[in-house]
Amino acid sequence: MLKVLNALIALVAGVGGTVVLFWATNALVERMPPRLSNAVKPYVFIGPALFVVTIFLVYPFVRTIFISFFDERSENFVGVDNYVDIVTDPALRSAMFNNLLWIAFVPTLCVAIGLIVAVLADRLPPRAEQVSKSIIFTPMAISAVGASTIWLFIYAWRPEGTGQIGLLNAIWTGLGQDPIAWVQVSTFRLNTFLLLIIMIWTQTGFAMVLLSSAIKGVPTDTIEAARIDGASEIQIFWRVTVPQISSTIAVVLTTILVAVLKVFDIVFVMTGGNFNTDVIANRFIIELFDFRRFGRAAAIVVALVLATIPVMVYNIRQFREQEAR
Amino acid sequence: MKSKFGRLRVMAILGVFCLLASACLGDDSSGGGGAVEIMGAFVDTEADGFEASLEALREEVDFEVNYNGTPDFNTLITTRVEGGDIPDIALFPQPGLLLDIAAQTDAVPISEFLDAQALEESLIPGFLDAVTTEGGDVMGFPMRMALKSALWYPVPEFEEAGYTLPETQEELNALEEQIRSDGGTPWCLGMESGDATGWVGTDWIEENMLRLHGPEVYDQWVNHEVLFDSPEVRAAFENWNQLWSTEGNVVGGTQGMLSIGFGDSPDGLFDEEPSCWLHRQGNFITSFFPDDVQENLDENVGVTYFPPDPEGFDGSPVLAGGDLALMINDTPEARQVMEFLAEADFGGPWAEQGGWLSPHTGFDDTLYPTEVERQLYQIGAQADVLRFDASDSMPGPVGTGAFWTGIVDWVGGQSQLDGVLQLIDQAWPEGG
Repeated sequence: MLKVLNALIALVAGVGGTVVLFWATNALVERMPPRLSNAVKPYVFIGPALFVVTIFLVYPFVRTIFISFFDERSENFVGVDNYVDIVTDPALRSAMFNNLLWIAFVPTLCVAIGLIVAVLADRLPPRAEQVSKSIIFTPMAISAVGASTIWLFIYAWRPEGTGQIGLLNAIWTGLGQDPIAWVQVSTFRLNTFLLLIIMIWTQTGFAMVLLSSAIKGVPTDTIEAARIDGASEIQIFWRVTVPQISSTIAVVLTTILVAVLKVFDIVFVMTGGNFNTDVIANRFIIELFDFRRFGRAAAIVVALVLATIPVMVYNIRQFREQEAR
Repeated sequence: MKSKFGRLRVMAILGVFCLLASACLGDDSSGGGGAVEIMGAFVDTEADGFEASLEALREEVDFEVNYNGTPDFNTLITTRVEGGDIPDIALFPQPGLLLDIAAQTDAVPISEFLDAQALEESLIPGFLDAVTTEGGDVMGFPMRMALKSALWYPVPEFEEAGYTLPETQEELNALEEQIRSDGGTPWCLGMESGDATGWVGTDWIEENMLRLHGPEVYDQWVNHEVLFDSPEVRAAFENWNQLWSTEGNVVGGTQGMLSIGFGDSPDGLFDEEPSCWLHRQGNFITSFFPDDVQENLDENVGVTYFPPDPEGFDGSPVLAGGDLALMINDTPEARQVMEFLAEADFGGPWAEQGGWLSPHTGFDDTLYPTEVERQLYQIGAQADVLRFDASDSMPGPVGTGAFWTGIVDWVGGQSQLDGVLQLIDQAWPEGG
């Protein structure tokens, strides 16, 4: 009860405090002479954000880079040893391979499925479109841990002969097979694919919503023109619609890609990184909190951020291009 | 103009209020001057038991003693020490991290404020070895024992089926065979424990190391003087392998071992017709038993000393763990609390509540509410050598890393034993 009250106060005070802060400073600035006021005003609004970002993002990041060149307890300079260690660590290599699988499949499948749904839903009557899109969007509202717990039950295993509570094994044993502990099956990394389905499930809704609005933004005259020229529906889709929404596709792809690079919670909940399903972000947690090797943990994070930066840059460029239109 | 100024002032006051309110939020633990903050890993009813035990101290002293329990102890203590927000006393579930934090915070050895000799004599022999630095300083002490060498069986079915409790490895093997020939499955052996899956297996290996080779080889193994890839350790792995690779010896086979949660695993003992008959697990497992079993513990379950192997080490060793107290902030108040926690009769109210075992040999065992707990305590108290959980004392990358994952990969069939043993050796930090 006290916790709820605390959270409530924090929410009200936090949000309220921010509003009051901006309101008060704005009121102050407005009391200045108009010319000075106009010059100062932008900084008043961007200042607190810049300050917070510097303190909580830039400083820790610089510090992390610094620590990544030091030993476990951040006492002695060790050069690039940590980076050498992380690329030669077999556990991390396996994790990197899994991350590649995530990167290769999650964003593309999310966009592909999202696009299909968006295109098909576009042809439904408005009411049916709303309902079907809402249903597909719902998993987006579930936290990754919650979603993983749901899927934990879908993949659940019970000993042969007892009732299978897992959906997949219920179907599987219904077909006369022996129950399989799905998340343990690392042949062809099947279990990693089972895990990345969870992320696809949660992220497809996001892709669908953005792509759907992009499709609705495609001018109908271009489509009609194509139709008059005798193009088939598939040709229209690939040659008229897709080129016009390509920048949205790129933004969605890269946004999901960044989320995928950071994937941790799903793996942590489902397998704890066991059975060859580990990912880089989970290795970081293990290095930092279980092994307490700060240098290595920092090196992993820096490597992860370096991998994210090109994607982010591309993402922002695409976004700007889209905005410019 | 005037009204505008007035509004500004109201807003300023509001702003200050908001700041104050948010500043007060995080401040529910540290208390005023002289208060002692104890941080530990146990919560809920366990924390209640601890609080009840602290009452005697609180009546004596004129400062506050606050306990903060968190299930995420290892993460939180690390972050708090990094951030300089250090609790006065921390109760570590693992000795490795205790020694780490003690070194990091320059904590003082217990001999500075306690009669370490007397404490050593009062405790079950072997306990303090786990929290002794290489230089010979004892940094902490146990305030609770977790007994691991316990074999659980269903009551009264076990006796009704005509089984007798095994006292040696050989008798245990014979019992397994008898259960199998009666159409039963001998072992409940679920290992699943989220990201910590593997510890059940390492406990088994430790048990075997201790019973096969005795405490000396065990200690050498903990210090990596005996490698994982050695005949001794291989024998311990193979001994355990025999148990679960024998067809029909374990519920669900290896898939079952890795899928069934360690806490759900013993439920099989309590089925109408037990779906498995034997379970080896620490004393804490009673809290995972079904509610109706817990209410009538003695009528549902029996516990006995996990049988030693006379062909191996000649003696009765036990594997144990415990919550270990470390004083991080050396203050007179904290010293007083430490002295209290180290007393041989500490924990009476907690014992009465259940779920707690004393690490001292002379504890009044009539305080325990159940026969099961009395039995557990006596297994510990009568052991002629006690050893701490080896994986807890190994460096993190091994003890909570390669050893765990190696076992999981081995049981799951992802790796062969040779590769596993070599990988664990390789994971050992340089100089080890």
